[in-house]
Amino acid sequence: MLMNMQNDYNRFRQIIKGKIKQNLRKYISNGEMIGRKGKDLISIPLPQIDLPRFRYGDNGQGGVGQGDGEPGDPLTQGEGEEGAGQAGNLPGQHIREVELTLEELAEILGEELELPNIEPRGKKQIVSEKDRYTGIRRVGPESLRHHKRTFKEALKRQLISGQFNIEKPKIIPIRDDYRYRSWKTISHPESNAVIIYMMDVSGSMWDEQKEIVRLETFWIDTWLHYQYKGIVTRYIIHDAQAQEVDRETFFTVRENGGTVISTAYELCSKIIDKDYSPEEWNIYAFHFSDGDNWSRDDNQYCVEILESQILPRVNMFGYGQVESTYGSGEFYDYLEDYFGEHDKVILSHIPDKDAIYDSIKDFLGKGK
Amino acid sequence: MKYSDLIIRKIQEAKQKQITIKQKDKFSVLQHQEDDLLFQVKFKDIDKYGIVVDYISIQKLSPILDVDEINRRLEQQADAIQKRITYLLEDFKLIEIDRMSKRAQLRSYPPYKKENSKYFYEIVLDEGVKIHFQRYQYSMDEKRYEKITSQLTLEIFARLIDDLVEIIQ
Repeated sequence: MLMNMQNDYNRFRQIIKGKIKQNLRKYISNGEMIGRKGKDLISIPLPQIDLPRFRYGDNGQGGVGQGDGEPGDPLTQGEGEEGAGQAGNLPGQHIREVELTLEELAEILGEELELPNIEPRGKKQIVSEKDRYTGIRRVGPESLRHHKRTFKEALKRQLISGQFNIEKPKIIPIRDDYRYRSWKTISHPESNAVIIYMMDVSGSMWDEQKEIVRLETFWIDTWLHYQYKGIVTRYIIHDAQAQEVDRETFFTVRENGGTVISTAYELCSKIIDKDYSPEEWNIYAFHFSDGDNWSRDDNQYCVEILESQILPRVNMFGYGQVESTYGSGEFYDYLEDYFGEHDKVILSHIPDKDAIYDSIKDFLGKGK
Repeated sequence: MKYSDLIIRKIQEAKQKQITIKQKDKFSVLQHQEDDLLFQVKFKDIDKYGIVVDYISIQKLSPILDVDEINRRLEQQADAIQKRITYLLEDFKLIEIDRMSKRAQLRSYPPYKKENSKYFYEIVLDEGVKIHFQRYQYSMDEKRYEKITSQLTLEIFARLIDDLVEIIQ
């Protein structure tokens, strides 16, 4: 009987996915796996996957026999006496790690959180071209010679011409038999997308709050990368001033300045103006803060920028308010008063890491 | 006479004579200028042992014009608060210092947690010449801050007034 490895492998992947789904809430609120992220793969520590194995009984401790007993007495080994034992000195079980592609992870996320696929806005689609080796030709470079097809042609020729001897099978291709791989250029319509992340790095945003943002953005990134090919990510940090930074700086920078949120919204609007025409791009903006804006006037100014400059151009604006050591500021309430019913604005409270799971659902659950 | 004695006397006089300069939400606001300093104390009650105070605000009336000097002063003042005001059961920590708007914010750390609320003091320094003291409560259920009163013994209140004056000067 032929063993099909692919079936076993697929079954194994299904088991892994099932385990990850079961523990997804834990993975989402635990940053461990993000540290293991490679370019395209991510390692996930799984507590245990039980592989089927034989279990042996207690051999050598007697066999079938007769003795004292009544009908119905159990035949199992007697229970040992309880007592205090010494602590073990052997290493514990190793946690198995499995590698998943980010695409697989996004699929799991989508299934578990029941996320709808995103419908790109009715924008001009950008066509990208890719070469695929899908055809066969009679001419081509030797490096692209298709050996199987070449020998097949040679066999056909020898059979037709009667040169093939079944007693002494020998196939010798001639020049006419040679076949080469050839490519076709395939056009793919793609919707381009950009995510603009903004984070408050003022003095009241401590490492714990930034870690929440880091975890949240990882999952948003994973989902949006799965939904769009060719996605671009931009990062803005702000305290009393805003600046664009790279990803590394975004998650590590520490400032102790005040909080003026409007500076980030102004910069976000400028970046959209300069680089991302709403006609061609699906634009996502996310802002994370503890909501302790320095002044109420600035809250009002933020609302104005959002209303006039950002919201008309983005697919979605997400605001996640994390809770600082002292609590959560009033910016969330301010936005809720103005944009509570707005189609493009999604607000989410993230008091701690456990709330990230629900927050991701808030942000991505509308299929924007 | 120390500034603290003066302010306490003024508050007590105001209470006895039921003379308050402004009355708002059952609170009284004492506003008093002495030398180069403008004091504002919003209080609810005072007796011979203690005071229930909403906020204390002290402003030096001669402004500092040089921006670098203001920012230097803000840092010094924040540092002094963290070192000196250690008798309120909660120590202060510099949270934010905004050099553009010339403000610094200090809060007591860690905030005191009781049931579903967090309590903390806040001191805001403005332009190197103004200091504002207030206590807050954050309700974790309602997710909002509320200004609340501080209940201080007269000894602590006096010490606080004198320290704040010294820091601002």
